Amino acid sequence: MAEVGSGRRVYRVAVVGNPNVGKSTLFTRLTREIAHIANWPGTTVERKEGVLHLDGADVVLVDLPGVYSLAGVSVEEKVARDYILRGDWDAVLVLVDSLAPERTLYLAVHVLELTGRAVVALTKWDAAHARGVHVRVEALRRALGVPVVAVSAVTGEGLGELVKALREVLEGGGGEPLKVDYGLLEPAIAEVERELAGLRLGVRAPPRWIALKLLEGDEDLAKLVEGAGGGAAVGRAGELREAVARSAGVDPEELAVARRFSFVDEVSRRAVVRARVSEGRGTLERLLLSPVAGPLLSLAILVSAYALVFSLNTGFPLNALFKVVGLGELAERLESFTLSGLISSFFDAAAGYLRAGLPPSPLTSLLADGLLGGLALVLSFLPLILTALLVLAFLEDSGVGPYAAASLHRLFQRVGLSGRAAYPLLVALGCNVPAVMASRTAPEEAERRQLMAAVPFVPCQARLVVLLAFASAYFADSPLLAAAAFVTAYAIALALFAATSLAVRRVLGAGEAPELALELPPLHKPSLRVLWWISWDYAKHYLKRAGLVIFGLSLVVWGLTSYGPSGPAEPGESYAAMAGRVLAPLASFLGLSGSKAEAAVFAALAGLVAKETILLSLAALQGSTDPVEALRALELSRAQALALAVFYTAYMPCAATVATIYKESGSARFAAAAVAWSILASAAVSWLVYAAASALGL
Amino acid sequence: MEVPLASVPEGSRVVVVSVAGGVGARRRLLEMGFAPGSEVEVVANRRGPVVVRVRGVTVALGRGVAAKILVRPAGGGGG
Repeated sequence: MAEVGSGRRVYRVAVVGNPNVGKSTLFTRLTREIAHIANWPGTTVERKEGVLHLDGADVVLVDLPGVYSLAGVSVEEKVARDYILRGDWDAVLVLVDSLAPERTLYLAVHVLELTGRAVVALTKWDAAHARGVHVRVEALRRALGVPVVAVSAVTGEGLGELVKALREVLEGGGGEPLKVDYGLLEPAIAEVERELAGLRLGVRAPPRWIALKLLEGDEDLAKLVEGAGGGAAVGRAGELREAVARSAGVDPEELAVARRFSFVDEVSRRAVVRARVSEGRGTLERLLLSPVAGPLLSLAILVSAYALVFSLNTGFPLNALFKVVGLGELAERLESFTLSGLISSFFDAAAGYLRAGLPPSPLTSLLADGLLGGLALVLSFLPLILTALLVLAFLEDSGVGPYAAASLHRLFQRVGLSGRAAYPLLVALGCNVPAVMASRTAPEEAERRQLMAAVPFVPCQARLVVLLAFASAYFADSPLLAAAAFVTAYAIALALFAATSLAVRRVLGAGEAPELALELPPLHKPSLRVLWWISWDYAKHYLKRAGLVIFGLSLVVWGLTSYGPSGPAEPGESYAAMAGRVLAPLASFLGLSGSKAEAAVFAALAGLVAKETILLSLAALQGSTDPVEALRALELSRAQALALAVFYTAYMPCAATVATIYKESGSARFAAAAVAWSILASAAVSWLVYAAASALGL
Repeated sequence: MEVPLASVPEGSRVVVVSVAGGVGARRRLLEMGFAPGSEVEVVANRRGPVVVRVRGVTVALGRGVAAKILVRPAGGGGG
């Protein structure tokens, strides 16, 4: 963590810009390291801070979410607006895309109407000329009244100048807020402004800005003004709103937006020259947008991305493919050379070394199994998260992600999600932990929460192994039945995913499915260095934020499965086994009783730390080494086997996923609700499966 | 002659006249650049999303959204 202060002057700068303006890239390029990462209170919106060390002063850059305006419609806009209105910033850095100044200047104008203590950065300067866009920086500076600096995060051009300009504003003050001519609205603005005189609102906005917002029908600000005793101003603004709407035939909101854009157009006429080069929509763009090939190609790209991530990490699905074609040995070799394989063999070796070197004692077991096991679990997620985020960053930054999201949108709309859900959903098939993290790709707060709650129902690789073991133990003699069981389990999982997504959307009151209005940035080759910085930062912070929780939870489960009332115990005598005996009656809804029920519940408890533990603990309980044998020894009916397999797939996100949901949502209540829902839903669904399968005579 | 953006053929240039829809969704569209007076070029409009260029940016719109944006032909004709 970068040290801030210590006798030096500390300034804070709010960084604000449109989505796709290149904010993360510039942020990363300027600060090199995220000093602080958390959520804005009560939201899933990430709050990132980085520090810029200058001589004699430190500048803390506060990264605000990517927004189109400060209207406060979405959660992201509210967060950005609240910080600009009430935050402790000393200056604002506004980013304008030099490839699309006609659109992105809008937010800049909106911000500059609030404060003159600002610097405008023109991003992607390196690409602008190639695309035939020429921005006259000096003309823009004159029109906006604040320093304007052209920068490129890729080449580093202009960064020094940007820092210098920031410093001058920080130390020198900056100018007056920008004045936009609102035409028909001007008399109304002046009148409301007079009504506001003398009120103490406690926000950093000129009265003119507040007056305009009231006329635009901003409810949050109306509440604020009323709270400060400005009921008269709010009332007058309401009357004027209606009067303007009647006389102009347009409501003031639309009028204000249109006037702001006219101002932008005026500025653009003076400062932007577009050479009519070809729009550069290549074959790939056209293919991705075509009605039939588009969704297929998008899926193919995302599936390849997914296969790349998991083949590197766990060998899956390449290893499964090798096994199917009879190359079992090659599959095993592949697995041992994957990142997860390497990490686990390192920790196995370390544990073996400890066991051999130390006398057998509870302490040795704690060190070798409990502590090392927990550490191995946490570290095994690191490369997985790093590669999943790296691929996500590549998809987003190259522009392929948005194209794929647009072409897959209709598929996901039915379950209340947008096309952006495709990548997290696919990643979840490998591992839920990076999938929950990848929910950050969704543009809306509600959709991110939908994904976080729904993703754990997608059977990850560990649960696939459990399903496979059940299939080998109970359905091996009939490939048709085995296939039917598999399809049933996956269909149920997807149905639960869909139902959860829709339910969360309804609970959050987010209305119908997100409508598609998605910007498609030009496809380009991203800078790998920048992708690496961004992903590595996230992965590192993941380790800090969730690692400790995962480690703690895994240690607790290890303790419960290896200790009993009289100290260290065999699995059958452990606290977990005792709990299994107490909770065994719960399994009666699947027609299980006695030792079968105890074993099933014990395995479920052990599986809380990681789902693959379900099989290991069943085997350990029966003193066997073959999980399939151990499963067979339970002597379940096929109906019971199918129902139990479905239950194990869905019953609760593993400890690491729970920890990640907690950290990403920033809410223990949300994580707890997701867990409770998954337990209830899985119990209900597996009971239905049991009843249906029994009725079918399985 | 005002028509919904969703019914404008590929390759046409049109100008936004007005945007309908709920408060939040409408505001978002306006501020994404579909303000009255903005020029829009329709890049793709077959099945699936309607793809347009507006204010230097390519935007994919669901058909429902595109139906809420009323436009007239650019350059003299109509409105």
